[in-house]
Amino acid sequence: MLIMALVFCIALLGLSLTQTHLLSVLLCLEMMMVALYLGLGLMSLSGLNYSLMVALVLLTFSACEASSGLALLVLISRSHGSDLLKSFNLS
Amino acid sequence: MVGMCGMLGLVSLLIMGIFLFDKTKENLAQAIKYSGFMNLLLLTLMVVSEENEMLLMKWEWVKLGGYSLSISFRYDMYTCSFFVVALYVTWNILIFSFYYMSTDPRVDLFCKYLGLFLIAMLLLVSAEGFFQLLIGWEGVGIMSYLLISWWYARSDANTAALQAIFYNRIGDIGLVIMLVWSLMNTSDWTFTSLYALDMFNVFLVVGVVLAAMGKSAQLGLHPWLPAAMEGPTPVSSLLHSSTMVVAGVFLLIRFSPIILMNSYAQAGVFLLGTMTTLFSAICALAQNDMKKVVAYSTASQLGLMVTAVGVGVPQLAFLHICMHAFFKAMLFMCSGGYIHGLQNEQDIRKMGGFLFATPITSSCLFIGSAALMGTPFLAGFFSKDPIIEAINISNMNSWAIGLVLVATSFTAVYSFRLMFMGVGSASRMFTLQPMNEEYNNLVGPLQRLCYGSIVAGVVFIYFLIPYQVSILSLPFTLKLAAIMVTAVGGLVSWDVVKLLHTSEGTVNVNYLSFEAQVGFYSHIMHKIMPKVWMTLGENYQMQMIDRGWAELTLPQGFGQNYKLLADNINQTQTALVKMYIAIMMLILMMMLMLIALS
Amino acid sequence: MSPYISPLFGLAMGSSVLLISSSTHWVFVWLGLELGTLAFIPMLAWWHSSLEVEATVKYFIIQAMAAAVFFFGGLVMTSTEYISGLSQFVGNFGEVLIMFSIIMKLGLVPFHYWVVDVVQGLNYLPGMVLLTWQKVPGLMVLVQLVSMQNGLILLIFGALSAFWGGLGGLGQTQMRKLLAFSSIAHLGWLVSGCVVGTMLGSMYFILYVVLSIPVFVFLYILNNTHLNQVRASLVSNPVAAMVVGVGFLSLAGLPPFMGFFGKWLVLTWLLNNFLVGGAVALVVGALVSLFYYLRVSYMCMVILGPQQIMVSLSWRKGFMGSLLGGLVVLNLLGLLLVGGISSLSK
Repeated sequence: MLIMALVFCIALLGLSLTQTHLLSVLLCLEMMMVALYLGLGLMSLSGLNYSLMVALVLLTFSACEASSGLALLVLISRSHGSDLLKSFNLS
Repeated sequence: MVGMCGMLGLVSLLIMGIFLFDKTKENLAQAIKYSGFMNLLLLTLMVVSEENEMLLMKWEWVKLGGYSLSISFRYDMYTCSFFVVALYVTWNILIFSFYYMSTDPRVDLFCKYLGLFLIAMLLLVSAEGFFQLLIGWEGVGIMSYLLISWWYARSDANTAALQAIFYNRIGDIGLVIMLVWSLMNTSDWTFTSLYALDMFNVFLVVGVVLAAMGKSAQLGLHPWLPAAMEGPTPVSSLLHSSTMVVAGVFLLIRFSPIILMNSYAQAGVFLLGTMTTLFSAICALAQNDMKKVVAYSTASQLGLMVTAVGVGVPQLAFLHICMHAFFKAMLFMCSGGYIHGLQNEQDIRKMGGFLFATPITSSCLFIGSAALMGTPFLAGFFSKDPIIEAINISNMNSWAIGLVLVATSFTAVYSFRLMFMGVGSASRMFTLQPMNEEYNNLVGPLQRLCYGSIVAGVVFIYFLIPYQVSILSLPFTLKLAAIMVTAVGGLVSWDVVKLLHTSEGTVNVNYLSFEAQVGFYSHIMHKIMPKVWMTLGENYQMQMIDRGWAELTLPQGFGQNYKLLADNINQTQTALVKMYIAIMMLILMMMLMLIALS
Repeated sequence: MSPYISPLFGLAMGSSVLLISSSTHWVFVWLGLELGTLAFIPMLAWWHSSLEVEATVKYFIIQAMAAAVFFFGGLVMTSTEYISGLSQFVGNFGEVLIMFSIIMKLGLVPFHYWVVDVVQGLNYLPGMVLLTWQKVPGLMVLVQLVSMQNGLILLIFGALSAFWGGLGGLGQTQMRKLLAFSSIAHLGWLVSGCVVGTMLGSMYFILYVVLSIPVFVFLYILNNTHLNQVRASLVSNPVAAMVVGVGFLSLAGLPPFMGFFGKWLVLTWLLNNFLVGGAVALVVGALVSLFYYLRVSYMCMVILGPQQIMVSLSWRKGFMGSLLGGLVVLNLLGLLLVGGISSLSK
């Protein structure tokens, strides 16, 4: 569990401090999601059976989120010409 | 049954209110008339069934905790009688204003103002909750302002309207004191719970008396009433004789159970009334403006009403309100007729001999003045005589009682002077004056109010008798005191008129300057006092504090600080979302640490 | 974006609220929140202009992060205490994390920075949905979380929010930023209301929605984004200008209008619960914000050019008179509603 928390916090820190590409921000978000997935898997070991089903739900939704994030990435690179965070006032 | 009829009366008033939106003013007059008849029916029913008091339409409007604000109407003898009188008088005044204002392009609006004013007054009188009372009270105030400044192009009218609103505002402070006190001490802000409280409080009584002083133009807050004669005559007739100015007295009557609990408060009200009645009567002696004479006589009668409340007979004060409404509205109408006939000439020194030019108006003036003086068996007699009797047998300050008698005799003096200068004597107007009274809208209301002035006393004394039993045997001199002093006043008036207006050569009239200048009150209060205050205010308040320290510390200082703060806050809006996220994370960490530590 | 697909997103946004309101388990609440956000994202980027896309990205990142934190909090809560309902108070880190993530999603004060920039980038109508409808899921979670400790934190944040929203708007000349700050300030009142009574919070929220929708819609019609443009709006479209002006007065909480009664009720309940400090802070915040509300409504309703020829103006034709009347009446409904609202229980 502690590993999961650590991974999550590192991802969060990465999310806060990434300064160059939007893609890396999205990757950080994905990493957070993976950490949560990890947490759910660990939880099933300690006896909470339904957490595996929840893990599926989480996966589905993180996939949705990732896809809409990528769609936004495409959109913004079409309107701004790049995915550099500097070019659109994000960092 | 009576409750049903009460609801019908209320509905008739509502329908009358709807007619305010009607295009034709005649319909409004008709609606007021029928509403008056409806309420007369209600009054009769109440008298016959000996129902003293009822509350109509108790609707709880706002409920907050243990406190509730409800809308309901208090129908008792006062309300019903006043409704009948006010509706009757207003109907006549409205018709009179068709005559008087016929050349005014905005006469329709004028009639609507009058109707709205009437509704505000009725709301005031019938209020059970103080919230309603406040609405009526302020409605009367604002409508009086609008009506007095009807001819807004005249600076005099504007000044008078401003005076009215300012003096009334001083009185409203008193009303607000009363309201706040009763808000804190009753659960639902109504008369019922205030009476049930059965408690005397200095704040409450001072507030009520101050409010009554402002609205009823008692001594100290009186100058607006004569000044308000700048409005059109129908306005004077409605507002400043029969309805609005009696609102203060009516408030005193409503609160009389509380005022009469304490002998000091009672004495205070009594002395206030006597001072007012005497002062106004003195001022009325020397006025040359016809409407001003009537206005001061109104103020004097208001003083008499307040005196009656102070002496412990609020029922008689109310009776005097009703009687006074009839003949004072009529007197104003008569003077309006003269003024209109003389092409807006108001000076009584330029009148005279109207008995032949306008016999009906002059007769009405005579009857009205006689009723005002308290001539036996006219309307004024039935209210004024018992009041004077009650004053005579009370154990109040005998000096004050004497002053009331003097004021009563002065009533006769100025009434006779007015009649002599206007109706009697030789004509002093220009030769070619289109003086006539061939207007139905003038003569009709005059006649109707004249009947009222003659018979109303007999009718109203039947059911508006005082609750306390008066002393049945009275010394002959006290019983006849009122009539005797009036007779003496009548005799004196002859000499006054002769001295002032008919003797050969010039008369030294310096001794009259106190009267002619109405006690120098306006001079002192409106000229010298403001100047003193202006000087003080300019030197100390404005130069030193307002433009000095206060300006630097409060507006400038606050403004600077807030500007700085706002600038700093706007600095944080860098539009860099990654920065925001970092800040958020930082705050989140800090909060979590704080919570973990605590 | 194709307009034919938008009902689907609307449906998803609606069902997210239903999902949240009908579930107690935090996973489903999370699902609802995610569903609402993801369905709203395409709507934000409707017009594909660069500003809007940028704002959408900002919104997306913040919301996704907050959702992840929410899930993390739920995970912590479940794995330490074996509790899955939100309304069961456990008082551990997980619950606090959930609360902070919700505050992040709503944009209450220490986490409010994104609101202003996102709203500034958006068009008025998506902005309106963002500031009204998108608050519903978050608030529904928040009222479940209120407890002694959390309530105190929320109250402090609420008071701070009202004050901050007032101060932030003082120097603003951009209408949308102004509205965002106003929304922050109102959120402060709203959250304080939620702390003292759920019913009160939802009442205030409904009032806020009813008040702000006309303002947004008519600002959209006027197409004003800067305060200078507002100045000319009385001439170009007086009806809309009047509605905006009255709406701003109402948002400011001046007595005859509806906004006053919401504030009044919140204050009453706060004082009934002896939370005098919070009440004072809220009132001071409202006072500060009054300045910019009055400035906007002054520009909307009072200022007129020196020589306007009024005859040829379009509003003379009176085609929007009834609309104006309806909205003003809606604003003044507060007078009548006060009786009904005040008799409601907490």
